[in-house]
Amino acid sequence: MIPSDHFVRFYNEVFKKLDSLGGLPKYYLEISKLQEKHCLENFKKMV
Amino acid sequence: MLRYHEIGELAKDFHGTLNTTINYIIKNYGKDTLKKIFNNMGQKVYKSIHTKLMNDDPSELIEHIAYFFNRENADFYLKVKTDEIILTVRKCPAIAALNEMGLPVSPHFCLSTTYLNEAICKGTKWKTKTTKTGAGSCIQRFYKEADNDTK
Repeated sequence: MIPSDHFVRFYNEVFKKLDSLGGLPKYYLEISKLQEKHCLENFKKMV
Repeated sequence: MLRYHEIGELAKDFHGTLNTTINYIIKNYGKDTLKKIFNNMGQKVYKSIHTKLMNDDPSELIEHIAYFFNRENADFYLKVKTDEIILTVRKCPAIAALNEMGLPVSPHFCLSTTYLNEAICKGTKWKTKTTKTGAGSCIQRFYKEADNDTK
């Protein structure tokens, strides 16, 4: 298990690898879908 | 002594992003790329644990497991012997978090544990083996090279 405390350190390694492969923008889009699922409804309720 | 020793609130939604990231990388780049990422994680982020294992000192690995599995409120049992460390995870907090978020658990999710443990042990006298015992439970074993699987 990777401790949730270490998510930034994990992302850093993912970003470095995917950036070297030219795949960072597509990864951001994939992750943003997850954030949308968890956050969008809450944001809408706040408006 | 731990290199990282966070306190305060946990951001358990990270486990969801990890789950998505594992699926994404395997689908688009394959397991080898995922393994390279965890290799860097194990040997750079957890450099002090790895370096100590290189010097045959598992103390920080033991402390790391105990601290973070307690911090994540895992149901686990840690048994430490001279040449063997056995972590029995009865309820994995990462998989529990995915279930709580309603996210389907990636069939590859536990590679994060397998690959990370292998990376931490790589090039040392210590070996590791993770055996799934159920959905969200496993046994992670670390043992000295001379103490092989025949035991």
